[in-house]
Amino acid sequence: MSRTRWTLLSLAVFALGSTKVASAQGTITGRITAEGNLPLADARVIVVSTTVSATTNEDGRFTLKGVPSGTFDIQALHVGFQSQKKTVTMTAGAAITADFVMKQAIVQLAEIVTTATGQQRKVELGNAIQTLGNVNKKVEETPITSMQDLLVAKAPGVNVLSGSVTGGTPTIRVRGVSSINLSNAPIWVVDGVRYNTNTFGTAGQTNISLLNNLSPEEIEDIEIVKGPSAATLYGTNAANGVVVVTTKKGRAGTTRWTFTGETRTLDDRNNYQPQYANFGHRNGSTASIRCQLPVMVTSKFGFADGATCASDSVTSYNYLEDPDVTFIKLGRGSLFGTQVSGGNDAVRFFVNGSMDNEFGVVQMPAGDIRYYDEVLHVPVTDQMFHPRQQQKYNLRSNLSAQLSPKFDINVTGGFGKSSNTIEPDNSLIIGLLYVGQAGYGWKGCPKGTETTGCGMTGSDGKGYTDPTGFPLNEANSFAPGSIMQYVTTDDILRFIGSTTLNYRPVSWLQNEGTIGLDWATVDVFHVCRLNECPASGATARLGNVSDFKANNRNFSTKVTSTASWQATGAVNLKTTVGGEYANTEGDSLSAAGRGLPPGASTLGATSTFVSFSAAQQKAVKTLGYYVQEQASIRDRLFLTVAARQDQNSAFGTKFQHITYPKVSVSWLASDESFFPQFSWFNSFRLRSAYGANGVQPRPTDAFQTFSPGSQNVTKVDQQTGTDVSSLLANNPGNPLLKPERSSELEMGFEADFFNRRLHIDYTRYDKRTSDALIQLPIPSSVGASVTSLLQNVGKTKNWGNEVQASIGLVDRRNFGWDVTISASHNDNKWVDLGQDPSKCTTTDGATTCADLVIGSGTTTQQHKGDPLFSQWYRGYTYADKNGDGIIQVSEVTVDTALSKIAVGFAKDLVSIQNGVDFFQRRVHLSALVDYRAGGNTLEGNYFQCSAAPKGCRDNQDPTAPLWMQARAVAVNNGTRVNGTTYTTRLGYFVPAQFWKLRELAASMVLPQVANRYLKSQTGSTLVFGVRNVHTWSSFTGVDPEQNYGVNGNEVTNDFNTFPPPTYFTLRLNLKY
Amino acid sequence: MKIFADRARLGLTAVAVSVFTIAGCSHVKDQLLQPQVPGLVDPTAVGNPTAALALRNGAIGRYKQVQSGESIWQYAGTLADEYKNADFSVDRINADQRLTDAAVSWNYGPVTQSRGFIRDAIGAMIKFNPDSAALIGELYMELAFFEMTMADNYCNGIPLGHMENGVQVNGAPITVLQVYDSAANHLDTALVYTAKAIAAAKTTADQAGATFIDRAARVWKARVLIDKDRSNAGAAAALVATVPTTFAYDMTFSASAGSNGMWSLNNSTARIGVADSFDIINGQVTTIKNALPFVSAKDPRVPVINGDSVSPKVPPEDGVTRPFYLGGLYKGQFDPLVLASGVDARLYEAEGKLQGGDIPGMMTILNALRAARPTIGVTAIPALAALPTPASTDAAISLLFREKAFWTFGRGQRLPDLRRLIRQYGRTQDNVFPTGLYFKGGNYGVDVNFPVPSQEQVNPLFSSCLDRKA
Repeated sequence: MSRTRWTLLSLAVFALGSTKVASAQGTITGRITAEGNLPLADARVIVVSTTVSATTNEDGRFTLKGVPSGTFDIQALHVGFQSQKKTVTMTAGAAITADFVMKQAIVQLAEIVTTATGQQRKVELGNAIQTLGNVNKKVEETPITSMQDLLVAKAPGVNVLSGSVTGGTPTIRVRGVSSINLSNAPIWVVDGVRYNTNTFGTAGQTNISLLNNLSPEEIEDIEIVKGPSAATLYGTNAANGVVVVTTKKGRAGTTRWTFTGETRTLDDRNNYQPQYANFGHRNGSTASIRCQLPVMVTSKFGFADGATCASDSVTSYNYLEDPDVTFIKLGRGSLFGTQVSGGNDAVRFFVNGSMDNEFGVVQMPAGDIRYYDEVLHVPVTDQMFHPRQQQKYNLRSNLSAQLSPKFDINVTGGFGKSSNTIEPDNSLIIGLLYVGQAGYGWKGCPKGTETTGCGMTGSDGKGYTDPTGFPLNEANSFAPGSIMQYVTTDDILRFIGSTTLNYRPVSWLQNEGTIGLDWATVDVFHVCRLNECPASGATARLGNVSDFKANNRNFSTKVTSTASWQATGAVNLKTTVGGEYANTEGDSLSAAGRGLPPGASTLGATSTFVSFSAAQQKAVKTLGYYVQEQASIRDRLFLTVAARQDQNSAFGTKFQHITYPKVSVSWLASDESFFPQFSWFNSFRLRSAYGANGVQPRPTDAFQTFSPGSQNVTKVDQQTGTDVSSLLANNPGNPLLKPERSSELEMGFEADFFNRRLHIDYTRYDKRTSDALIQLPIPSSVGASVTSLLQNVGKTKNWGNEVQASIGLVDRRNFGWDVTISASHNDNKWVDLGQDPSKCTTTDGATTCADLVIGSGTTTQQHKGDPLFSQWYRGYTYADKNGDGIIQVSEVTVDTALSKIAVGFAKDLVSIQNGVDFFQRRVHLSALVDYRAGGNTLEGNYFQCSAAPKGCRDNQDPTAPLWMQARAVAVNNGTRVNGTTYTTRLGYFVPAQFWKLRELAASMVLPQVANRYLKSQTGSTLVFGVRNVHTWSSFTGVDPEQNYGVNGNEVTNDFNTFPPPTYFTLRLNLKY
Repeated sequence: MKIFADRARLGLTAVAVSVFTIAGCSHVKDQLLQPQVPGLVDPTAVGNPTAALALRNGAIGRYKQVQSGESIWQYAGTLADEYKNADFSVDRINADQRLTDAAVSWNYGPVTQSRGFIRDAIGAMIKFNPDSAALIGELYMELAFFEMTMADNYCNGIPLGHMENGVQVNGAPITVLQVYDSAANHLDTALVYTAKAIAAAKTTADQAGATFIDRAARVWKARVLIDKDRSNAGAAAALVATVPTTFAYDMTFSASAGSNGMWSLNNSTARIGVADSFDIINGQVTTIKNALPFVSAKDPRVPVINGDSVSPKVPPEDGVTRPFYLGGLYKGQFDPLVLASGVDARLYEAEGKLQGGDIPGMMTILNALRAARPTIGVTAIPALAALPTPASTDAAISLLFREKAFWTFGRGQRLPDLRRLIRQYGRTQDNVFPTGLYFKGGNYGVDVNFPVPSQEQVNPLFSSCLDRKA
């Protein structure tokens, strides 16, 4: 047994052995009410410094059993109310009554949080934990349809880049990024079980996320554990933060039913950019040709000066906004859900069922439907008519039972089924957005070209068709109706369940064990039936099918044991020991075939085998042990020391385990007698925490491997070969590979002012990552099996500030107004990248090497001292030297060298949550404003301007601003120096700064007359909401949140990716 | 006392539970943490004769690196006059326009990296299957093929390093001619092995197999000799005299082993089209100086299919390249690509005659080949009319290289031949490579090869090309 493990064991034994045993126990009962004698259900009551706690039932009553003898503080806590303490003295076998009348808090804060060792009061923690708090209220009262809607713009330091299409994958980053080779995404834990949020999909189509299988309807609370200082005890892989989800539990009392119905409309209100066409002629010719601005003749720039095209007229056309042809229409969605909750003090249950259907803003244009009806004489299937759809079904059943005063059990089970249909949206040629944004710049034929033919019309005056005869109707390359035959469905079946046992043999000892499973089966099925889909290749219309099936399994189990001890009258100690095992594994199979008979659509029906691949089971397993000691001094100073040791299957064979330490302190300074007392200054807490965590390498990074395969070897004197099995050296492996280790120091304060109307929470953090996994390059010319070797050599630094201010501006009977402002700034840089062995010099016997640079000469580079994923472009300058309003090639100068420009992801985040109540708080208005800055996005659609005869304003419209013309010249023409042409995309890498009115909602508590008519109860609501209301941005593309590389790509790119639509929702919540 | 006893009992229980738990976990730890990757092939599986053969098969599969994906044959075909770009990629357009940038990889990595896989296979075969002389010879031949490919396509300044017991041994940049020397040396080794295999053959099949590889090695040795110096053409001709015109050493494909990449790029994904001697630029027919009329010559050695005669019709990927032609040489995705052939042998013999000043002799060989009706891959070439004897040596040079361009279309030989016209025959690049207006805008550039990309700068001995000369 290693020394570290002995140390942990000794600590645990010491702590357990030193706990105070109290055989004499009593009972405390009571009732918690709000002012006006209104019972408060779901309030938490704890006996401070013990493990004894209870939750109030529907009538606000609670029972605390097994309270040890002695004098204790009892604390009552409930979101939205100011916590209260009472001191009681318990004697053996006594039964004490303690009632609380709680005062409503103007600023609503959660005071109990879920940590790796169990539930704790937030005041005891030295680190910041963001709690969404009262998720149910948010879901019921605002236009939230997915997990990403729930998280976006709610917490400082948490950047959520939404997947912009129905079912699309969001990218979530907590406190920025710190790795270039491993995931920067947080891990998810649902009811104690590791939850898989992987993405999957088909090339050329927006990815789907497994995250979408969680239904916001069934969530009680979400906590975001932001960094290693807080996530230490979650173990390896939690260095990027942890999103802890707790699903709803039943409430003792009368069985309560909630029926929810929601209808929503999706409207793509984005301003798409039109295409332009500049018609002109050559000198000495009358033939109409397309001009490009850089070679256009103007009054000051004639043919003699070298131009080749004189402009005659300019047309523009916006295909996507032409109601005659566009495939962008209104989308629709609906949700029906039922929740039932109830039980008694012994057994409580919660059941949720919901159906959510949505089809997106893409719909087959009427002209294409006519072609199906009148020419093809085949019906348009639903999947073709609405090629972007999602159907979700969720069923959850949670059961809590108190089997004895010492023994509880919680069983949770959630089943989800989702089916998505995703159209080709970001593929070249057969991508819908491609044909929509790459038009020719006019509708029909421009004047003068009707008889000679123009871009979309032949010389016979008839509209162009695609190669199969499908009318293009102003679209480029392929008709939308043809592309919509390309059907891909993503089906997921998901189960997540957990069982938690809680055993309290004595009042000072609590044992908890959780075992759980997250199982997801994924099926991505694609079909193009015979003679369907665009003729994008010689075999494209023979019919083709591909099928990808994957199984993902997460098995988690953990055991914790917590002992508490009142060491002195002022000092309480709490010791926790625990162990955790997590196994994340998956496998997959995929196959593709070609050649279908008429009507067939299955893989088995294909006549030609195309490909097959099987990804064998891969698993990452973590086994960890931890011990934590907490000291509470007079319930105002809290010290925590902890350590966790992990072993992991992905570590190198010569790296056995890693230990993560943690120390934190929290001091409720305002409770000290010496703290100055002001009427306007209510509380002040200082906190600080230091902790470490890591991110493991990928499953097989550490191992030397050979890749098996099949090769075809030519036969002697024949033109055919023989398939033979083969091996190739693959990964050289690294037995010393270990996790990237991050340690973080954070400090901050929380303060309440003006009768707790203003709450401020500030955190400063500094995260250092060492042993960063870097792919050290190997020259191709040495013929190694790889061109880089993964090694733990880098160091990064991540730092920032987070502040959240919650303000109760007005608190009147008929009018209330509260505002929560969150702001954060995150920055990062490379502290060290290791040294470049290729750039060493030896002077006087001493060898020094230059710092390693990764990606030299490419757009994304990593340099010591620079931010991660720095973007490097050639700079350029321009000047309209001849003053003709046209930027010629000679008027743009592109640098020959690349220079560091900026980063992708936003560094500055601000959100403003506004809530206003009217009419005795029966009507609630809310607004969410989201601001992001400090990042850039590549306008990836620029290339669609580059090839004549297509055109965009940049290179076709002579009235285009000079900067716009110049960036097109810089990317298409560039500058030629010594025989080399230097171009740059810099002009299209633009700030993605924006202000967004993200949500606007109005909810109304149904009047009694309505309740009587509907036989519903008080609390039923009607809600109208709008999501993605309006964007204010200087971004030169369509929307700064479009992201081609959704999930995992730290540099955003709007290339052929749909922008987010606006959602209008109307929701009725009926309670019985 | 009771409190004390309870405390002791519970403490001991906690200790026992903790020890039992941790000890138990230690016991099952290995099983709990063992990686579950049943598909993983680790080093213990490769130390035997069967595994050595599998490594050899894997190395043979590396031939595909020159033609699959964004391959060097595709880039070279567009930099020369064989193909024209029909997609969006700026890099691929730049190659077509003869504007190459060291920041782009130009498929350098897969080509040069293949040498390592072949060396691994040679080592394993010599260790575990030393009697398989023909297969060892074939691997040396393949090693030479990749070095020849590098010299054919990249600039002066190519490093040839290697791995030695897991340690990288960097190579200093050397000239194209020096790389040809290295290829020639490996071909000599290959020929030693094949001679040994032929001599030791106990069956007709063994002898045929060894002879098959021997002939391919001879064809490539001849090619390397000529590529290095045209004065070697006589020796090259002598080397291939025994190779029959019908001989072909192919790169073959199958559903599980991959497709013909040149077919994929042209016929399937339509990213490149067969080029011609003119283009439509701004609506006007514009002649491309020096470009051969691969389409309009209607030569059966370069069969083409235009968009109107294909069913289903295939548009170029960029949607705008016109005219756009699919190649007809490869009818299907698994049709073989010819790596070395008897046709090549005859062409080297013809150049040997040319080098010897025997233009009629050259024409005799060329016209005999035109009448021979050989098969290129799966395409049978009909008998072609004899060509008249050119009146001058210069015209004979042009004729030989034109004939060779049609016979070897799309097989990675046009670019090195254009370079040879400059390097060995004294022509200027303006009279050899496509020149003038480029159909996607601007003019053709001046590049005659691909730079060794800047990614090679991690090799401390390399900084950039020694020069970009032909």
